[in-house]
Amino acid sequence: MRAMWKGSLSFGLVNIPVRLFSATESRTLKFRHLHAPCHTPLEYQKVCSTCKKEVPWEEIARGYEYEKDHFVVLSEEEIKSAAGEKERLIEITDFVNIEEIDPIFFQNSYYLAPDGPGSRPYALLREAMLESGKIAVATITLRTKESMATVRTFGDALALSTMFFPDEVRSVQELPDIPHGVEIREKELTMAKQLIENLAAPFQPEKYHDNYRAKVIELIQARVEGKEVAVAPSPQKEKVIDLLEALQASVEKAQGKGKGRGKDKTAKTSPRKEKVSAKK
Amino acid sequence: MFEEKISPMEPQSRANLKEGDEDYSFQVKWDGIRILAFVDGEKLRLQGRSLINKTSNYPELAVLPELVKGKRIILDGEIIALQENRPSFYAVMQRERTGSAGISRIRSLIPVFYMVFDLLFFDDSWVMNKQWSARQEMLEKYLKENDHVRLTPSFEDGEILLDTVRKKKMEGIVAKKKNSPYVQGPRKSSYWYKTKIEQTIEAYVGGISLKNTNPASLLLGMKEEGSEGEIGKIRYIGSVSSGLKTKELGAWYNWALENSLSASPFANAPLHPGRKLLYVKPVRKVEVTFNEWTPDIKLRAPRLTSRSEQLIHL
Repeated sequence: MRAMWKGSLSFGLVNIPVRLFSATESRTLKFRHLHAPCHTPLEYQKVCSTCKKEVPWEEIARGYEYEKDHFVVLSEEEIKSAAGEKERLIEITDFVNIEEIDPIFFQNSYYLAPDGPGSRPYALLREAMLESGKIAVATITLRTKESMATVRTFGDALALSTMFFPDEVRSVQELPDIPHGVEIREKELTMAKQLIENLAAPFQPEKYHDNYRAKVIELIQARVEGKEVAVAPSPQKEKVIDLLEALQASVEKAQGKGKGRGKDKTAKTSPRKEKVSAKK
Repeated sequence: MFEEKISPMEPQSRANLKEGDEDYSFQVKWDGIRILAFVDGEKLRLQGRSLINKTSNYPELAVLPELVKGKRIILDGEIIALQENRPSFYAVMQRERTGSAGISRIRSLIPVFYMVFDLLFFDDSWVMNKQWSARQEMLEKYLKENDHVRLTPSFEDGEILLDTVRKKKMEGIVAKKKNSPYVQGPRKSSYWYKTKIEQTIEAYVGGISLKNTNPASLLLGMKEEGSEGEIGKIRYIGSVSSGLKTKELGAWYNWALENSLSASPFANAPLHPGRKLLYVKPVRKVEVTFNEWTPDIKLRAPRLTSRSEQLIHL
């Protein structure tokens, strides 16, 4: 694993140099956009519509749109100095019980590993947290965002999860159609609770798999190995052209049989042919 | 012109064809949704009888501006969906009710076709005052057809067409006076008249209604295409008692008692105030004839056909 950044973890007067790693990776299959006739991966160019040219990275600036089409342009240095010295710091402020934090607050997860001489204080912190059963709440500055985060033991390591600020979690009040004060009958509740009991089991994440991904991988594998992939032909789509032709044929047939009719109705129909439109 | 609200022309009803029908041409009556299409350059607007914009319901028609070569045009026609090779009102109603959220899914399940039969505006002038036959000639000349947009053919022999349509179990025919202008609705014009044929469908029996303790009618339902709802749910379309002999009704009732369901198999609730309803698994079908569909997708005046006895378990 490659570290994302190096900084320090602090609480009280203790400072532990650490490295930060991403704890998760998405296994979602990634597809690239190709030019269909030649299968070349597409390139995306950054283009300025005013100067009408492709823009090299040196000419790219970052701006905040405070009003439509009005920007405040900030350079990297300006942002760094505003963010302050905390840039590489995970500052622990409290220790709490994990049950007190609802999972809705969790954003992304990272692993912390000691950097160099940090090994001993790292192990100490880990053991202390394990025995006290508490987790740490900290503030962390990652890139340009300051976040709340938790630090907790995870296996042999310490895991850090960034959290949403309370004002970033939307209020449940905003949801439509949430029932309030609905009368629940005793028997129904008992039955529902029974259903929950029946399905109660210890959490075993290994039980769950991405079946969709597995099937697509199978398809890709077969293709790579050069096997023919059987694709079920889609059912015949009913076409109105067929109906119109059938109608025409029936009418003409009936006219051909036109014996015993009072008037002699020679066909003066206006047949709708696909290629040629017959003039009357 | 583009934003004009126009009421489509409405035919009067006749049970039989008129004498002296050389003055008329005959067309199939399409059992679908009446739609006027307004094209102005690249812009397209579809308007229904209710004058509401229906453009997003039918993306198959987005190609219309190309088919008229960018001319400014107003077309009149019917949008239909096919089932068993004939137009099914029930199928097209599902399209009509699907908004832009579900449209990408349902359009591959129920594709629609626009059967064009009249022209109201062309290039820069209103052509409603032109004779029907002249308008038809203009349509033939200026409308290019594709898989989803077709011109409705016209026939000279009304009897034969009616007979053909009856054999194909389609809705009916419309007679149009050759020398007549286009007259807006909703008042029915005497220049067009429709002759309908009794329609027949097969429907599942999803239950029996009881009056006191006696069976009174069969509750009918039909499957919905691509419905997200629970598996096995059908849509209630009406109840039928006409054409059922007392003995048959009794036999249905006995069968129902053995195959009953505690929960309704219908996605929407049958309305039978004052009656008790006995629900069954929708596994048996009956054939019914009826006059037409009501605006809320129920059968008007259904009657059981004799063929029902022969319909077997599915």
